[in-house]
This record gives sequence, structure tokens and C-alpha cells, in this order.
Amino acid sequence: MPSNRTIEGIKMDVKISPLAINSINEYAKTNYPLEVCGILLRDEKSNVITKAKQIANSFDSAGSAKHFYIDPIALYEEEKKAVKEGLNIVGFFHSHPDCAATVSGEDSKYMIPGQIYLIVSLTKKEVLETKAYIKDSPDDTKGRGLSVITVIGN
Amino acid sequence: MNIYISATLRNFFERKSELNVKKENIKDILDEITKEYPDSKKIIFDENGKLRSFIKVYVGEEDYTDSKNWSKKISEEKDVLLLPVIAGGASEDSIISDERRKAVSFDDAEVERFGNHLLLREIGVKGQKRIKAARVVVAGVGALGSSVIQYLAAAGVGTIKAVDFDDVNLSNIQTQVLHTSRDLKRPKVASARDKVRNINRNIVFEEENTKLEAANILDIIDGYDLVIDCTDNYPARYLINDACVICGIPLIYGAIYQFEGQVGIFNLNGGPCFRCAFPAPPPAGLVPSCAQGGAISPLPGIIGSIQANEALKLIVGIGEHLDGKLWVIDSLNLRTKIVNVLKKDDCPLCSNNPSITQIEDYDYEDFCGLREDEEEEPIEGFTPEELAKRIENNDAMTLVDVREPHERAILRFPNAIVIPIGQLARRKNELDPEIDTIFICKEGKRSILAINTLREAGYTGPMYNLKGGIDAMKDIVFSHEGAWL
Repeated sequence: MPSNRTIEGIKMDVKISPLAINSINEYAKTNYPLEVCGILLRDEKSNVITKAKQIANSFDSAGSAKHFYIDPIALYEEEKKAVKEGLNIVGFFHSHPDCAATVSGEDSKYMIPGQIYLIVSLTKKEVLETKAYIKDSPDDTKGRGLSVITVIGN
Repeated sequence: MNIYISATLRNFFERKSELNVKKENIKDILDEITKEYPDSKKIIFDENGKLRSFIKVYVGEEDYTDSKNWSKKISEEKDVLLLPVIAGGASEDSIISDERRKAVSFDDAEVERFGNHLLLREIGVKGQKRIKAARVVVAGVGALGSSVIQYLAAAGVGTIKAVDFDDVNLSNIQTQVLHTSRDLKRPKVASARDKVRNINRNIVFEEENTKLEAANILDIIDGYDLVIDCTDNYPARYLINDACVICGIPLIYGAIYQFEGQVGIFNLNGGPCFRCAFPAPPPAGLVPSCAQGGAISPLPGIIGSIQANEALKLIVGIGEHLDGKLWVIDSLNLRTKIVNVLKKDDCPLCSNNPSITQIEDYDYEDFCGLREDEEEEPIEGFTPEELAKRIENNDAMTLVDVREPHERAILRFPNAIVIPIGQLARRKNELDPEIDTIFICKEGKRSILAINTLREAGYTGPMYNLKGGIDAMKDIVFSHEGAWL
């Protein structure tokens, strides 16, 4: 796991449980070379992401290696379920099969300011790295103003 | 009317999950809620008042995002849902397809040779195969071309086509590090071929010892993956850009001037083209080319290296590119910046309604003001021989040198008065309209600009241009009159 570090002086950690990280990695590996996506859920009382839930990638019914899309109505249903479970949606994850865990132009276009975006880079053999990003303003253009956030394993 | 706010957007609505608004259509509802919660306005709408790409509006399960639906009256029983689009994609695709990548293999020597690339996670074997599969045209084997070609060859780009009509001369070698003193008078593409062979014999090197023109460029670049513009003049830059747009090939542009340089990527996936960034060239003669304006030796190395680096990133499909951007460096003061280039809706070339759809009949020299305008009064001039004769005859005339001080320091023109172009209009009274005035610059182009400037300022005396400038005069004067230069 990457160590706890800050970049550009922005102290902001994404704390995530090993269980959640493992489930993201397993989703991503099982579905390789297709791209997977899902939501990150945090207990209302804590600041640790305890659950990562896969949502169907509805970009293409056959799946896609390069894109992901979460149906807004599916997200709406998930939001209602989360409230019942006492969880908050704090962001999203998706995988980049055979690509670095950096924010692509398309990722940036759809990033909601303030939400955590976790990207898992993997090959057929293994997960290479997991990085998290946040956008501070909707006018942050591609690759700018995005704070890279530490992912802590515990 | 109940408005459900997605959990992902609540930060901009004071953490409220539901709003109640007494409005009957989406437009009024959005206006009302963004007025009540000003933080949300910037999140929901962009600076042009359009809904941002990540916002969706539903009424019940029905998608009302399209603004055509915004004035429809909506039923009180249904909830309005303000939801986000959660979407994205892996990093940009490489400009080399997977099929072509898969068709490539490496031998042991190549694995050793490209070890430093294979170690990079972002490149690795797959990326290096793309590099080997790539076919790149380098237009211009001068200063920028020198570093571009050498780095592309070293990186293992499989096919490199170099285009240049020129031979190597002594003044090239200071900036064009591909050529050596041994290559003098040889075609530039020939010394490029030797260099590439010495780097890696497996590279397919294609040489075109020809000038790029509207009549031949499409044949030269069609079917290649990428064109790198390493030329030094505006007609060639527009020609290359236009041909790239027509053939659908991305273009990496680079330019240098004295201590400054710039790099940009045009025509990538329908992005802006060179004409979006530079709709018209500067007036002829105003911006000297490298050969006229000079350049510090390492500058083309810096700019060409960035061009080669961008080329490799596009080929491998990694990182952030200068797509729709210009990277500008001032090497004298060590300042760099990146400026955005927007696609122009009315671009004559790459917009939806282009006025330029083919280039065969397009007059690039004319577009760049390099052909004499027939409507304008033609500019008369003297050849160096004619001027030398007039000087010998002691004809009454005023010689005006419009060159910059550093150019005069290299070679002074005797008995000439010095007036920089910028001061001509103001200082026109220093000229005697009763006698001939002859304007002198380095290559005979800025002197034309000078004459036009004075005409516009209302000067009516007879004005002549020294054809070919002081460069053409050099040999004549020395042989004729000894050392009076």
C-alpha cells in the first residue's frame, strides 16, 4: 500500500479499509480486461471508507475496456439504499486496465467537485497501483487543480 | 414540486436532500434553486449557462436533461431528480491500434536496446511495440528536425520519413546538430539518413529530397500516423496543417525564434488546428525566420525534444498532451507557460462548414503575403549590380538601412542612414522626396514592408528596394569595389 503522504501541500487523506480495497481489486481483476466501476461508501460516524460496491458498467451492454458509465437512476437507487444502511456515498472507483492510474480527459470531464475518484491501474497479472483524486472546482481543466490523495491501508 | 438532490451534489445545496419549489417546468425550477443556493449555480451550469456534462435532470424515470424539455409543464405527482453522470474512461487511446501493436515482435537485441523504455510502467513492452509500429513524417530537417529525428530514431520509431529540399551549409551547423562539417553541400535528408542508420539500422528511413507543396504534400503524408512540423516559415506551416486536417493526421507543431520557442498539438481527435490558433500569419517580413532572426544553439534542441516527447506519448497513449495547448518557453529568462487554444467555430478548415476543403489550388505564398499584390502599386527595386553601378556613378540617392542594430553589427552598409521599421513613419521627414531612396534589409523582404509603411504614411518620394537585400549584395560589392563594405 502507498504510504501516507501529501502532495502539493494539500493534506487530505482518503482512508479506506483493506476490505474495501480488496473488493475493488478483486472486481477489477475478475473483470479484466473490462473496466469496472462502483461507489465508495463511508460510515456516517467514521471517516473510513468501509465499503466499495460495484455498479454495472452501463456504457455498453457487452462491457467496455476503455469507458465506464453509471446509470443515474441506478445511482439514485443506491443512494436510497445507502441511507437505510447508515452509509454516505463519498465518491467512486473505476479501473484502468493496462493504463496508468491517472485522470484521463474523459474522467475529468465528468468529475463532480468534492467527490473522491479512486482509480485502479491493473494488468492481466496484477493490480499495479491505486490512486485517488479530487476536483476542487468544476473549472479545473484536465489534470489541473486535482489533488492526489493518499490511500491508507490498515 | 419535490426536487431530489443527489447525495453527490448536496454540498452545493447546504446538504439538503430534498427541496420544494413552486414551479412548473425544469427551467424555472433550475433558475429558482440556483438562485436560492448560489453555490450550486457554478456546479450545475458552465460559464455559458449550459448544463454541465455531469448533470442529469429526471422527472420520475424520464430523462429531461435536454433543454428542449425544459419548458414542458410537469406533473405535480412526479419527483424531479437532480442526478450526476458518473462516467469516464481509461487514458486516451494510442494513435496506434492494438492490431498493429500485436503484429510487432522484438528480438533479444531490441529488448536490450530499449530496456530503459521497457522499465517504464507507462511504456513497457506494449508501448514499445506501438513505437516500433509507428510511422512518422518529419517535415523539415533543420534545427528542430535535428533533435526530433535523432530522438525518434533512438526511441525506436519504426518508420521515419524526413522531408527537406535543402542542402547543408555552414550556417546551419550551429543549430542543426544532426549535420556535421562533413555534410556540407549534401542534401539534409542524406545526412539524416546516415545518422539514423548509425543509430539503428532496423529503422525504415524514407527520405524525400523535395519541397513540400500543395501539389505533393498529400501523397507524402497520407497513411502516416503523425506529422511533426519542423519547418521555419508560415506558408509551410499552413500547408502542413491543412494537409493534416484533410488527411486526418495529428500534427505536432514547433517553432523557434531567437531565444523563444513553442510547441503544440493540433488536429488530434477533431481538436483545434493550427488555423484555430493562428488564423492569419503575421505580415510578411515582420517575423524573421530562424535564418533571418537567429536562434541560440540549444533552443531547437529543447523545442525539438519536447516535440519528440509529445510524439512518443501520443504513440504510446500516455500522459497529458499539448492537445489544444501551446507550450511557450523563453529560454533567455527561463519563463514557460501553457496557453489554451480553443477550436474556432468559424475555422475555415476544421469547423463544421469549412471553406477550405482541398489544398491543390490554395496559394500559400499569397496567403502569407509573400506574393506581390496586383492591386497594390508594384514595388520597384534594384538588383545588387544596378545599385553598385549607381553607387559608382555617385548618383544622388538616400540609402536607408532598416535592419536591427545587432544585424548591422555583423555587416554595416556604408553611407546608409539607419531607421528601424518602427520609426519610419515618424521620421519620414528625414528623407528627401526629390531624390531616390533605396531601402536595404537582410533579404529584401523587410525593405518591401518599409516601403509599404511609408506609402501608407503618405510619403510620395521615389522609393526602391534592394532586391535580395544585403545578403545578395555581399559578393558583388567585395569583388567590385574592394573593402568598402
